[in-house]
Amino acid sequence: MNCERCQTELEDFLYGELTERRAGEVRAHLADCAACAAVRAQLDRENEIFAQFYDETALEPGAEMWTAIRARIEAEPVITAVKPERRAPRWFEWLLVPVVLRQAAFAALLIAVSVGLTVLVLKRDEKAPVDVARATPTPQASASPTTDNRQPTTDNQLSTNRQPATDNRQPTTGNRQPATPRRLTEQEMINQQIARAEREYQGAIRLLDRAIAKRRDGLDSNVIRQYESSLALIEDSIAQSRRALRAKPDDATAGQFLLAAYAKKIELMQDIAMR
Amino acid sequence: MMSEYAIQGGKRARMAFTEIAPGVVDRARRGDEEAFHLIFNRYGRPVLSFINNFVQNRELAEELAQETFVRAYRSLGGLRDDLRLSTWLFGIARNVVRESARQLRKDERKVGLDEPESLRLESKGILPEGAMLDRELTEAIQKALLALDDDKRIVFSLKVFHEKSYEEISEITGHSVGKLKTDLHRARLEIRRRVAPYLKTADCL
Repeated sequence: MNCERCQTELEDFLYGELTERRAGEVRAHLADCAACAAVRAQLDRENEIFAQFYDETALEPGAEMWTAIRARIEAEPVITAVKPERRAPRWFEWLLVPVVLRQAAFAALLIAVSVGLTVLVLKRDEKAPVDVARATPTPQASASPTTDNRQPTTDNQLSTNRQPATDNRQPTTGNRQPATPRRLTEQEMINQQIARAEREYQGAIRLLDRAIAKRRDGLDSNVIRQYESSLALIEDSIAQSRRALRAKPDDATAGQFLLAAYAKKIELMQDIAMR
Repeated sequence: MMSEYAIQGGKRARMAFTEIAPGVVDRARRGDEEAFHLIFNRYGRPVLSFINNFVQNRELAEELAQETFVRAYRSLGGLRDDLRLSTWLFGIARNVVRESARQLRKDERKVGLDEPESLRLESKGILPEGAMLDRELTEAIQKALLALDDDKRIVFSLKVFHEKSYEEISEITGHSVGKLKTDLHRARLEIRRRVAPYLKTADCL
């Protein structure tokens, strides 16, 4: 071994990154070469200084840091999905993903777009409170006298429902105007979106479930066990959120939890299906 | 003369990274908060210090370390090998720091992974009483570290301060071992160039 090669490999030698054979060669050269031994001594000294620097400047986490972490982890539902923190896949890896997974991912994307649109619509409605007020059925509308030939209540009718009920009557055999769908209340829109997102998620889950079933035999038994226990936790979360939503349909948090749990389930299943 | 792997600081760092007792990760994975607290106690310091190497601002470093541990808790199920816990945590910390740097750039603030010059804003050479290193030398090392680009600083920090293997650093950064070796070598040369005058003054060499 010559000096150039020895000095090139010196750092790796000091960090134990060389094979035993190569490390032996470096060691032998250092024993015979004063110049390389001096370079090694300089590296040793530098490393000592860096270690001291680290020891003296490293930050010690305060007790309040753990308190803050604990508060945050206690504030959210425990969903320990099998989802590694990893780098983004290279673009071409996407091409290797089975069609069924791309379909599932697309379904999830649709859900995201759909929910995003809802938020936009809701925000727009917030800016126009008059519309929301018009969309909300008034006591008069629901208590209006009923007749055999009354039309289904429409948004337009609600806006003019201060007129006498008879004004709204149409002859049964006359040319009836096509009924305009009733404008939904904000809450109804949210519930409708949740129901729609739930259907989309369920469709994506079915696709993924089939993909996983095909690959199941090839997966490690520990992975399967972990997957099943994570899945059970998530499904429990879904069931709880759904129960909460059923008990209190205007509970927006329960709705959000339900969708978040579905999203987590999809994430978990995609991870398993793509292994 | 010291033998390989007998670098004093290296030894200390390695001891700090002794993996935690078997079963603790699994308990934490099942939602056992106490087990997760053990993990935090073991890795809080290296993770916080690693983050601080990039942001040089204790408050921000604590905030990002907090985020790192919360994310780790959420995704413990994804840790495939419990023995790689510290490598995995550093990987999360690195992502958190990068995201923060991106956000800060968006906010047109000047602290970030790729903008070391900005770190002068908050760079505080906090030295505890009884520190052995000369204050000027410490500040020179800090400045030299901050002057490194992102890739060089991360490999230097993980290799020299945290004693990670190239394989582990490759797992954390996604870079090849060849690139890591080149970056480490260049980082060392750059730091040596900047720190050398202080070393002579402090009579460390």
